[in-house]
Amino acid sequence: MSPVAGMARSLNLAMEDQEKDNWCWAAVSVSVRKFYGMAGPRSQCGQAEGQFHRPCCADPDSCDQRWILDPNIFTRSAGTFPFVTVQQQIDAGRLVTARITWAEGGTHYVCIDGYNIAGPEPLVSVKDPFYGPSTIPYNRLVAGYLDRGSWTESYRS
Amino acid sequence: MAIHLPAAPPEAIDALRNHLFSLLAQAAPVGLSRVVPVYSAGAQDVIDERLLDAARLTAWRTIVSKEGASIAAAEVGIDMSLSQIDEGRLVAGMVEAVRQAEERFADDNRDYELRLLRIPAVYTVALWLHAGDADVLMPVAPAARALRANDSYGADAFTAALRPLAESALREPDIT
Repeated sequence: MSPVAGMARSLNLAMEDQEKDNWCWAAVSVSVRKFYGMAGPRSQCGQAEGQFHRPCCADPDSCDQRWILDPNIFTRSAGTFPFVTVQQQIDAGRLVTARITWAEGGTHYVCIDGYNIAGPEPLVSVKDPFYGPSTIPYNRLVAGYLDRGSWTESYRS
Repeated sequence: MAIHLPAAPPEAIDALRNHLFSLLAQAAPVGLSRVVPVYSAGAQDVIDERLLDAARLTAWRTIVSKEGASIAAAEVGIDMSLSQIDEGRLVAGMVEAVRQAEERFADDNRDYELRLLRIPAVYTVALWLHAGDADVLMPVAPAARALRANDSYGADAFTAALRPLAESALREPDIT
């Protein structure tokens, strides 16, 4: 149950926990596919097999590496979406996925599945395959996610 | 008591309370734990073996509980603006790590300051028990594969365990 109420909307994405250290892309791809009821791999190792063409379910550690989101699900845009675009996407029942780049390098993927405009600043509901669900100011996701992350690419799905 | 919390600035406590009570669906009855300082470091700090020296205070965190259960955590930045309200497994992981730390170090002669260390690029959150002449790191569950949640590590062993993940984090995937 989200503790946040108000002028809010949430698509209640069930984000899977990433099963390996570097599988944020696999967890996000599988969770988003299931959200839309799309055909394709239902497991993170299956997702990895589809993208690496290797037996990742038999030996998951051998496939534990950073990679990209499934291009069959996501359409990439450079930069961030303004809050109004996030709001429009959520209102249309579409998830927004953000690529986070850490200050010193390294990247991570999270989904936005809701917003809240009841307070003094717009908030977004973030589903993170490692750090879990959170409600954070939109501006914090743009610059300052977990203190050192910036939203650098956006994905429609 | 071998573990203590540093005094949080009163404005951090007020800011957390105000942000939370303006946002929570049911303002009462929820409880807020004492406030823990959050330090942040990066993957490069792991590789450079200066993790704790490089870590900077970035936030103040409290655990939100209701009817005896920990339901969320909330943070304000050092500018006292709301930075996040999070739920999920790291909330329970932190509560359990603190419980184990208090038990493990109850009879320790040192007086440890309780901090939270976050290294987001390597998927690591850890309790940081800081004393004048010693530092102990206890990874919060879920921990990266190289670490065991709730075990105690010295700074060198903790940093060495995370080094491969830090190197991987800084390597862009070759998708060509």
